Amino acid sequence: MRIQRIMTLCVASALLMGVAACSITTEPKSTATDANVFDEAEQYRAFLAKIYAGLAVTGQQGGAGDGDIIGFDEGFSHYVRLLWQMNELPTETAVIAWGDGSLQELNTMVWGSTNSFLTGMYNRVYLQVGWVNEFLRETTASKLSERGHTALADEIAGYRAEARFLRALSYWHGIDLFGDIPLVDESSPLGAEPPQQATRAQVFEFAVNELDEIYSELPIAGGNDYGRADQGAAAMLLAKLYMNAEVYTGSARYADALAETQKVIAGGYGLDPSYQHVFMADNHTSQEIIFPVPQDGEAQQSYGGTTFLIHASCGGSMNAADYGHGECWWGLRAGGPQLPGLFPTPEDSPDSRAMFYTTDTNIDVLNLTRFQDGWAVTKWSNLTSGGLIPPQSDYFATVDYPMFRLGDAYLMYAEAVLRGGGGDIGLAVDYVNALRERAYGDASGNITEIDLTLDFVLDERARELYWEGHRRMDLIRYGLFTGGDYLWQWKGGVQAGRSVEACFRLYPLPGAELAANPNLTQNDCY
Amino acid sequence: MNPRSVRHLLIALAATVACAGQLQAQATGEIRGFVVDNTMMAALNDVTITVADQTVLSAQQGYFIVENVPAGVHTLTASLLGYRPFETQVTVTVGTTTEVDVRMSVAPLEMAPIVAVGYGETETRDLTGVVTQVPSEAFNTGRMVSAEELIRAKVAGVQVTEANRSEPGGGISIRIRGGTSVTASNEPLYVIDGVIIPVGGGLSSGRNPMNFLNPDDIESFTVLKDASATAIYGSQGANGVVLIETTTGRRAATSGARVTYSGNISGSNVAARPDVLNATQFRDVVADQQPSKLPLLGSASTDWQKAIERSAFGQEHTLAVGGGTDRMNFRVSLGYLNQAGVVEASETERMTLNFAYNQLLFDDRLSLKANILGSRNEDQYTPGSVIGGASQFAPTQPIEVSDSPYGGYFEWDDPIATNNPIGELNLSVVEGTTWRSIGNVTGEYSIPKLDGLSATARLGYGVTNSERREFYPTNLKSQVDSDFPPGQVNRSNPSEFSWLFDGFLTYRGTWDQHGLDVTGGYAYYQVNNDTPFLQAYGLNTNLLGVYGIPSSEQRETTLFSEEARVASWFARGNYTFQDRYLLTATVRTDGSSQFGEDNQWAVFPSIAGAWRISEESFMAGSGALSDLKLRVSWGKNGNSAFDRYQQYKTYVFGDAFARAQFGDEFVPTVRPSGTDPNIKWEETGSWNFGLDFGFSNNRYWGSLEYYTKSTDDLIFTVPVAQGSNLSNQVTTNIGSMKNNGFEATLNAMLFQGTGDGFTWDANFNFGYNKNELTEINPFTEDASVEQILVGGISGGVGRTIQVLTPGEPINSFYVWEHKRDSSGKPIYEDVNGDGTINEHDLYVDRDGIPGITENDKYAYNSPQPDWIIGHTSLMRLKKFDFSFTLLAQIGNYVYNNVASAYGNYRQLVFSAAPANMQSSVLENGFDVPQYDSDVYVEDASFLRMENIELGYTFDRWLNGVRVYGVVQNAFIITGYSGVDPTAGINGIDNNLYPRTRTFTAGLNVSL
Repeated sequence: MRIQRIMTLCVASALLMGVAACSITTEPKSTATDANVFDEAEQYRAFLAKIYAGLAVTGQQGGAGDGDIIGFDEGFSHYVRLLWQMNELPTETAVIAWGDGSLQELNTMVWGSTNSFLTGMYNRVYLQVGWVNEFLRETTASKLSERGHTALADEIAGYRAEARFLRALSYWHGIDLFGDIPLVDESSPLGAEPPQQATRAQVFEFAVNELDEIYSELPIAGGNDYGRADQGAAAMLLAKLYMNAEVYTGSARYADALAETQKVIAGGYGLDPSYQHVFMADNHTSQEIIFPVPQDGEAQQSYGGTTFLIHASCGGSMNAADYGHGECWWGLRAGGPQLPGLFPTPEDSPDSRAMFYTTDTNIDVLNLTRFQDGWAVTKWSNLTSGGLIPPQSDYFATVDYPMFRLGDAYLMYAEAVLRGGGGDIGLAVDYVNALRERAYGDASGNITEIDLTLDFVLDERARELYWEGHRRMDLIRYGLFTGGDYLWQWKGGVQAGRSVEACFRLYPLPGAELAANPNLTQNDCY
Repeated sequence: MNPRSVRHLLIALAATVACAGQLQAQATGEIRGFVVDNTMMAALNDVTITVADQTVLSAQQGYFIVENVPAGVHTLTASLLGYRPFETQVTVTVGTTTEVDVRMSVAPLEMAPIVAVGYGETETRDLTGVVTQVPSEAFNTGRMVSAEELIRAKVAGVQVTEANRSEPGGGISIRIRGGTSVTASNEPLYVIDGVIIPVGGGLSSGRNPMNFLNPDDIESFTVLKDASATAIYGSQGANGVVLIETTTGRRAATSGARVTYSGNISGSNVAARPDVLNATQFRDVVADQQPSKLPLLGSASTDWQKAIERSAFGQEHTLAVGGGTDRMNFRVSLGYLNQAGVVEASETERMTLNFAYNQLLFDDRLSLKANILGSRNEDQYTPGSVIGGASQFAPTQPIEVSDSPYGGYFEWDDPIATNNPIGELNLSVVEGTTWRSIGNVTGEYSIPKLDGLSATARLGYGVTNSERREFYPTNLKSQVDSDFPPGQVNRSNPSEFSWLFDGFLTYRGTWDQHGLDVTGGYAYYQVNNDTPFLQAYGLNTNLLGVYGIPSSEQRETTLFSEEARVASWFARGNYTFQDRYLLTATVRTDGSSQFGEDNQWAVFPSIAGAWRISEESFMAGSGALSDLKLRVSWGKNGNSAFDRYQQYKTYVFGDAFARAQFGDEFVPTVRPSGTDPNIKWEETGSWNFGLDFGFSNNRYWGSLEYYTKSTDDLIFTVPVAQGSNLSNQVTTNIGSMKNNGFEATLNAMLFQGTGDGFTWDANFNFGYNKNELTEINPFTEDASVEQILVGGISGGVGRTIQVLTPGEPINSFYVWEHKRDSSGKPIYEDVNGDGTINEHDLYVDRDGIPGITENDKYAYNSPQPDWIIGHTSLMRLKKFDFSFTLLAQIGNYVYNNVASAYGNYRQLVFSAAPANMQSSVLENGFDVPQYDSDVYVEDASFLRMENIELGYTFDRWLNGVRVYGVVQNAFIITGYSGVDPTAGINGIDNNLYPRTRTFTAGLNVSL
């Protein structure tokens, strides 16, 4: 029957139609892939920008959203926030009130390998390293010529040097916090076998060699865009590595440290006339900053960085508007009497660096989770030096984080001299006095050569650099972080403080990392 | 022999008998009458009527006539599958016509003769897999906003849980024999009239996407549980399959049309709410704990929970027209539902317009079926923090104050203080609209000259367009405090379009003692999604509400677009020998866009056998035993319901607020992501051993099942060796999980009165399941580090309460063991004498290393019930019907987040403003929250009366009118202290919608 034949035909052709439509591959529509992203030359710069932004924001959406770190609260995952917490909270300078996850463990030095904050910092280090490696793989001469981008070769050579600086920076943080860690560079393919553990010394050597190699490829100090790495930043990072080389490798390199600080000091920077201005919303105009992590209330929003510092350091009877924002988070304050005690008459000190809010607060920290236990610190402010809230935002901070600044270089010079690195003790005293004259407003706080001892430098570093993420590193270099020679409240988890085993100078490798990489050996203690 | 041939045989037989009767034509009369459904007076055709050795079938409009019946008293019986046997005495006198009304009442729990199995149907007696059908007569009753609610407590091993139980139309999760996944979806595959529904039911503006179905338009649910039944769905079948058949005009197949109306109204009120302090208690606690804050307290006495509640009204109406001839039938239905929630501002409204059309063409060789479902759902939502705010806001404060800049509502002068819930409720707007349609046209063509061979082609589509609108005015407290310019409008408009094509051939044949039923074909499915989102800040006016976008200062928009495709070949063969040895083999090959390039195609086989022992000769004469069948099945299924594009190394672009600063310029960023390019389906291999039984001619019937399911290649986002990839974690196939359990189902027609006599049908079902995560990461031997923290709770940022760890059920609670005093009360004192009370005092040091750390936590119970027990009773006496449904869960635990977050004195100091406390603070005396204490993990086993219904039928009115009343959630027996022991599928009770009790009255009318 004709109709039946037509029907049979229809069914059969419908079947075939369906089969014909069976290409089952679908490609992402709203994201690019490695197959096409670098068809556009602009994306090299965007990728480099992301590596910088890895220090400044937490994900691909401002505020929070599409976070870089998976499996961890995005606000917590900020590079600088984590770095700051790990270098300040375990020391006498700061405690935090919140009970989020395992955060309290940082106050008391009783952390374990599952502590998510330590894991987050470790991840941040390798996120930076991984991105840099990928950037270097994607910008080789052969890749550029494959894509017809050879005209960009010079510009991209500069990008590559900056990327390698950023990798060295993160490796420094990595060995400082975690000790022996994997060393991975662009020669290792993605997704291959888990990398081998390198010693702290090997990673140290790698970072130093990298910085030496790229030094000449970087613009001179002050010669790059604000926010990007130049020779000043590279010299400062080298100085930091050498200054702590004894801790990292067992061999002191103070002469090298001294040489690098000299390079920095010769880099055309100048002390900011106002100490406070270095920590305010318009601090990008400061001559003192060598390498900032820029923060902007509009274009660089996150819940970490200086946004965290300004909000978390506010609470109790403090008025948020006095610090350029509208919301106190009741978190950070000084960790007991030691920090205020470094300043003469700390409540109203002639040393203007003593910036405390003491109304209705105890100087002692009896209760870690009570904001008013421990003096509040008002060093970080989102006001401009003109006393205004920046137009970008009264919530997300516009205060750039001075990762490296000249004041630090001065004190490193002094310390290197005292530790036998050569140099000129008279110049060292001058540098210290430059800082103190700024702090006192006159010469009344000046010191003489006799006063300039290593212990003085440690104290001066605390006075000058407290709450800038240096303290743990300094105490370790001085052998005071662990052990019982120097106690502070809640050291070791008891209010009076107790001696802590030396192995706590290193954080544990994260449990998750040990699970994922069987080549690793855990640090002692954990 | 299939039922159709039975029917033809009977017609022939009846004709023969009728002819034979005519020859005698002496001392006889005739009997005639109509057969109707006892409840709805629907005419029933094809009913077998037997009287005085004659058998006829009722025809159109239920009419039947039996001629040449010898005079005298006869017993007339009527029977129809799905109905109870009918019997009456008829007196026939010579030369006259005796009229008989035959009223058949449904037997909802009778074994269905034919069940849907996916790409076809099969006779229940030939089943080798585990397939449970729930017909509409056995559905739950009362206010049913979501279709899935209809089968709660009806099927063994099927857990139906709402995320927020009492919210009208709140999201629902179904777990069939436990979950098989962690990262991918655990929801079953839904197939409506042959059309595959996207994962989890599709899109909505915030409530259950399956709300688009009108329960009155659903004829049956069929749940496919074991691998033999689900293998035909391959990579989408691992979580079981739920087939939904919508109502057609078949039942109303009278010549002409039949109109039915069903409608009801309901009232709901709050049955339980969280236990917080009242104003007097609160004032006392402040005086005791924080006397310095007493001056802040007002003189009011506000019950914030009562202030946000209301008695809620609901109504539902369905008007349907169905009809047809013997070669076609149709049904059109129009539905309307409106249900308010017991918390202000929550409401759902649904309009449905559905059409079903079936037609036989070309000498009945072509069967054409079309179904089109269309709906519009309009939802109003209670803004996010109203319920939590009502538990937290200080009861000493007034709702309104005259000089408030916040729309007249009292607010604390502190940005991190709790906001006034009534202010938020009355000033903000959260609402949504979802338009949805699904439909299909299916042609089944019996190929001439090849008896038993037919070809089927189906074209189906699904379209959803959803919209969610939110408005937060400039004077709302949270807007004034916001880090953005105040006043905010959000709008999201996700849309989803899917289409599918199925083409398959079916052959059915029998030779001697052999029977064969083979189906094979091809299926293609594609789904596209667009997810646009717009946020506007800084409104210059509040006048425009959700439409105020043009007045905004600052806007953010985004749109993500996705597409997925699955192409499949499938085949299934059933072989029967001597009607007692049954063998089924199924295979499906899926190619999916979800899979990485090395794994694009996957094969999912299954095989099953059954032995109908009751057919064996040695069983002959075994009396009461009417059915006994032993089944065993094995198969592999996949789960591909995970995020799309996982196999690609994507570069994600950053927005304008997450840039890098290069000098004066803020530079946009692009970020590579870590990838496993070979990602593929999760694979579940399962065994099922079953026994079907029936006694007393299947008056009592049921089954016993034992199953094991082991899932491998479980997808986890796991930490990767740092430095080896581009992100800290990568999504990959790495873990394993096991489920095993048993099920028992018993259906019993306890009383079988005919006519108006007492009938009682009962269903009992039991499901026991044990879930265990066996492996997360095979590359480590250190179990202590192999754990993933999940289960976000409120209180503190990024806090979690559950863990995925090998050897424990998924989502086990991960807590510290609180030390107890001799009376069992959790201690709260400075045990170590260091001057402060903290975790080192309160918790058991389980790892022996001094100090309480994360490593001292332990996995303590899980949200999954060990036992799910359901019972349904359906009774009828004269014109009354009565039914109820009970549900029990045993061994499910819930984390009481309301108690853990609010049950402490820190509520008084976390901000400048004192906040209210959950009343456990009075017993425990915690100064600071003890989120991680096992005190808050509570046994939430319960027994709940899901619904009780009483109905009465006026059969003389119109074509029948039934009135009824239903109480839902009549009572619950539980030891759980929070609001609802079914606190979502993950067992975290965090400011749940208050528990509701609903009373419904309704009527069904047949015109």
